[in-house]
Amino acid sequence: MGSVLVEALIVVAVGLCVALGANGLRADGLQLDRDYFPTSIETPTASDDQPAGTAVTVGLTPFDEQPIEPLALDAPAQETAPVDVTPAHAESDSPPGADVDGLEPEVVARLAAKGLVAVGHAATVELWRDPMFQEYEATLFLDARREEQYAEGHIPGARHFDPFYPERFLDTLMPVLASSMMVVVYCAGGECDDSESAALFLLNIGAVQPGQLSIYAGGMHAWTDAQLPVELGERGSGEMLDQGEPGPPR
Amino acid sequence: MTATPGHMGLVAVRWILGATFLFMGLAKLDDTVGFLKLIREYELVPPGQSTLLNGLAIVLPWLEIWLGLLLIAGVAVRGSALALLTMLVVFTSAIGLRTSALMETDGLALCAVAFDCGCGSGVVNVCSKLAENLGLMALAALAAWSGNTRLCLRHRLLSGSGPDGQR
Repeated sequence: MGSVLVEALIVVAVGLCVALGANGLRADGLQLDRDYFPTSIETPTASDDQPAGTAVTVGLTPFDEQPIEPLALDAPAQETAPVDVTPAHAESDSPPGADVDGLEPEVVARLAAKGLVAVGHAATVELWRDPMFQEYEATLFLDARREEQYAEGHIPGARHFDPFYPERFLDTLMPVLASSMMVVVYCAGGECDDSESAALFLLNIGAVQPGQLSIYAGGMHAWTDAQLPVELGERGSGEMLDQGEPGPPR
Repeated sequence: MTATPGHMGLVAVRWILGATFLFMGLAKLDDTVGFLKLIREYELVPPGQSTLLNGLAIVLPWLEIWLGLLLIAGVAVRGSALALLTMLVVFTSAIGLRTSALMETDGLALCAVAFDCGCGSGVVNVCSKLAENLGLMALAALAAWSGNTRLCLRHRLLSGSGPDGQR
């Protein structure tokens, strides 16, 4: 029995070495020391401005109240009007605990505990329809789902950002983040928390400020349920989902 | 040494066990992030212990492939089978704990519980999974203690057995 145990320990030890070596050689290998599921904002700036768990559960801050430099865009005046999406919670007459703009109180509370802001469905659609997004991408929509899910249908104009492999996207994304006034991150919706991981990653590396970023909690569930346009393939492909076809995977 | 049906049956046991783990390990490797998320759902690793969680997600698929290949090739059979048996005991206990939690929260009967256990086979009924694991444990125990050296490259790692396990 003793020799069997020693043999087992040897094969497991060799197996561990094989595993770590093979993982290191894989393009999509995991990093041993990375926190893939951050639970709070860790940057000093973030904790100064907006500690986790504080009252950040209201809707988005209007553009003209953003604590960042505005885009240096040569946009016509009528297109720079801010989209007022704040009332989602702050000015609602709904009783406490009721859903506001499709936001479930539990989801809002979960996001708030992480120092994140939830944005409702109507507010998200309004931001998406805003000419500042359509023409200048002043609002940046980020899809935090897997690559294949993104390719099979995403919010038109949304960029892909997989929080598990951020290094693949940051080179392209950083300049856009720097020039965007708002960032809306989403994933499938429901139990999905990839949008939260993506948001916290971007906040923790200082790519965005807390007041600049929000989570579209309804995600692709809410978007497709509302029969809104869905773009297929890469961003800007121009290929839209035929409404008669089955919806994209959630 | 004449091959009896019993001997060949034990070879089949080893190959079935090895092939099963090889397949399950490859399935996990196909979606490492998905596997990482699934083992996180067991909540067995305390929050903040990301290195441990990542380490499990990295090591388990490769370990299953490695042990599966050793069993198929007939190398260090007893040690490999014992390692797989130990892993199966741990996995089955974890599945049992998660099932118990789901039964409590959702008010379900044991065999009504179904979830993706991260085993490489998608969403499964928990009773089927437990039965499958018990079967695999029996096969692993048989491979570990039968001493059958038929069609083994090196049955015992430490005692210098030759090709086909003949000394």
